[in-house]
Amino acid sequence: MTRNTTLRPPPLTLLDKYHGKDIQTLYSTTVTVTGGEANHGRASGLARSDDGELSVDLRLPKALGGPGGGTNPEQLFAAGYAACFHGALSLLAARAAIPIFGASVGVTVDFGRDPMDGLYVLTARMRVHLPGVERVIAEELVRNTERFCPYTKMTKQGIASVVSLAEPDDADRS
Amino acid sequence: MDDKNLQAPPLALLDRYRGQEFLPLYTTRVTVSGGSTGHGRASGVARSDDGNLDLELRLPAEFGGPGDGTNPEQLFAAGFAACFHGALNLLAKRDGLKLDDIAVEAEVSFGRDPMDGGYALVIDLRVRMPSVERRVAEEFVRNAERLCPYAKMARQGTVNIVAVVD
Repeated sequence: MTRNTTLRPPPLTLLDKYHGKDIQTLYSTTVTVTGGEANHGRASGLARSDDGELSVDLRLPKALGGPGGGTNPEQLFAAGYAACFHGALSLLAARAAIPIFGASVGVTVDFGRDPMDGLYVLTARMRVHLPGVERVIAEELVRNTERFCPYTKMTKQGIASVVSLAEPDDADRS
Repeated sequence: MDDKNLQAPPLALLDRYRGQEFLPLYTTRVTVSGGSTGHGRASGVARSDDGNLDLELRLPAEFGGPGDGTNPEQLFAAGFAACFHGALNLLAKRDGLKLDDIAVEAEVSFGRDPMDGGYALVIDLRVRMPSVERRVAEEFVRNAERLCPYAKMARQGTVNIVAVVD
């Protein structure tokens, strides 16, 4: 799928502190999920981004009674979180001139029942592997990344979210 | 992929849980490595333990990248919308409605946060349920907001444990 142009990491200026008074959007993307054969997004849905770069079939995993063979919201969350954290970690390491080649970030997500409200909850466990980096340095790097990565921030305090019902005659925006 | 006889999960998923501990029903792990630049967002690969998710990550043009791959914002949007879609379908089915035209759009923005000078994600979720009356659809959406654990995470965060491993 990917042309092998020379890929570059983003500039270190992304680490500069922002002094504006309002949220400043840098990138915005829309993904639409439809239900497919079973009319159920998790069981038979399709998730597609407006630019077409993400297009994945969704299936229930065997643990939830499905056939597997497709992805699911838990994997998508784990992938997004791990990718965001990996990027942030790389930038902070580059600024500190700590070589972290071979670094990997694994996120395990549990979907389960929440004893507080009797409904459902997601939990995340992240393991960061930094081969060749001294443990005390690795831990400090990871602590700093936790403050910087907006996914981590979301797990701590939530995010701004709006849920709305589109009018039936709204034109498709994508 | 074998697409025969895909079925929505049972309505019993809507039953309230009475246990006193967190009860995991499904666990999955995804690992991201950095690729040629060593930077997960710019050249990484995200792969799940079962291999069903296997995606290349690229910076979008807005960040000076080539596009040509996905990114954390799209992955979050897709997961949230899929989870919400499933919740809506179950709630409608419990009320005896067979809706084949639900669509959920999630718009995720990545931007600068004035509170801490760092970054924040913002999500705007738009639900389309064109074949039910607006008042009914609104109630489904309200109930799905309680049921869907992505919506819960967006409201209040969630348990997150981070460790450095050898």
